[in-house]
Amino acid sequence: MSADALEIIGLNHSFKDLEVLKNLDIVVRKGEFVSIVGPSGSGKSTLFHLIGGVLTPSAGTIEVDGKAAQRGLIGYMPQQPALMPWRTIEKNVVLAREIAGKADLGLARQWLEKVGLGDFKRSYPHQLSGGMQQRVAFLRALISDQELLCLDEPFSALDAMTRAEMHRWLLDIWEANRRAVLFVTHNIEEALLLSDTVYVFSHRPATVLEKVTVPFDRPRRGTVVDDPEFVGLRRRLTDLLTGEPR
Amino acid sequence: MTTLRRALPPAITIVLLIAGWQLYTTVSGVDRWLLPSPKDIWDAAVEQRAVLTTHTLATAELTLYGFAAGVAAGLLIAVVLHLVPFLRAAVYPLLVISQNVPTIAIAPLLVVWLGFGLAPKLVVIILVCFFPVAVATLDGLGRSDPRIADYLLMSGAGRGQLFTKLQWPNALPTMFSGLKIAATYSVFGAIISEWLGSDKGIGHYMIVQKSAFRADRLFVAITIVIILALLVFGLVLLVERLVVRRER
Repeated sequence: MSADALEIIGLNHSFKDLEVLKNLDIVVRKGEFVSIVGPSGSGKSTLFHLIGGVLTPSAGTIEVDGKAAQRGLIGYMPQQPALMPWRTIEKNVVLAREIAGKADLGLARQWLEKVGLGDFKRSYPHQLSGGMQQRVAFLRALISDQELLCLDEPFSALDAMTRAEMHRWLLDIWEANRRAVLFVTHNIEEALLLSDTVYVFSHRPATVLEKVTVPFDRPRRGTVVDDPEFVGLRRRLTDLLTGEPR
Repeated sequence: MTTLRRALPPAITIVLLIAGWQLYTTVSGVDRWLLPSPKDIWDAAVEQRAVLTTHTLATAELTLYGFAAGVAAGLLIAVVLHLVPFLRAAVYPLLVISQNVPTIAIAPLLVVWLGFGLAPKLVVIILVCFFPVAVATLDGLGRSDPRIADYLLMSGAGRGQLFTKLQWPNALPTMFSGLKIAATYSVFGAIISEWLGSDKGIGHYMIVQKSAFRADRLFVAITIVIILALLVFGLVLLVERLVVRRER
């Protein structure tokens, strides 16, 4: 049996005396969409830096695709698109592979075409709207050729309309190209709409309050948010998060 | 059209200034050796054109060598100081202080140490050129977007890739600002170095004409210096257009 895309066991992390993460166990299977919801400042970004190999954990193990966490094993999409203003869109998309020494401009163009961004391949980032820039940033992570994609609150800076569009766009692409995704957000509805599994984090130090298996079918329709079961789940998770002492 | 509209007001100003100058010298009857009229200067230029061409070419050559060497020194200093923070802390303040030493004051020392050849002249130009390039480039290298840096690190980039893919391209626009300043300084440096002792070049020509009280020829020399500086500046602009494609 092949390894999970991500396996975190007994993870603890502190900055000096400040405990940030406490005793986390998280698994992302291949092809699974997993979300983490938690209050702001619950150490979600720290978790990503640990998975990405930029930080070393104080205790516990992290394995990405069967290998101990180190740099260059994940596809990453940050909160801000972080595109290079001096590169065209296609040159930006190719960046993640370029770092790994596997630049493939043809593949980048093919994907831009496939996800409806073909007309923008020669544009510069500032010529695109915020939502479009995030699509480019997602594509850059998607074609990075890594088993695990880590998405760090990628839609938090977008307005509600654009965000809803992005959800649809992301679901369509992801459902057609299943990859293991670890998605961090503070938006409960977003987490339930997109994910197979949702981990609810507590306030610092972050622990897993609850692991929820989302019961809705794939491909997931936008109307699922009106399903009584969805509404019930959202209520319960909201209570769980707001009931937490701050 | 817009270029023309922008170029028109300064062009008119220059024409008016020259006309006023011509009028003043004609009406006041001021001595030619004190303040020659534009017409006198023009005549001097035409009369001396063969000599001037030789001197101009000599100065242009010296300027380009010096500019290239100064830019190379500036870039080298910027990259080394950027990559070694300890050196930056140790050397950067001294660089700033070094700019308070007037070039004209150390130029004779350079002649004592290096003789009358090409070496002291190049050193003078390097001394006036490297600083704006080094400071501007260092600034650009240090000011890259931390969010992009974070993205690159998370995606597995090493320190070398951080430099080649982010910091260096990010520094190009500020580097060119430094290059433009250095471009105008380079001609000025070349003239000073020729004053030190040289048998050719516009700087040498100026020394000779000064002794002869030929103000008209000195004005011709000044005009040539201005044109040379503009040419080097234009060269930098051209390269910038080709290299920096960022559109903002």
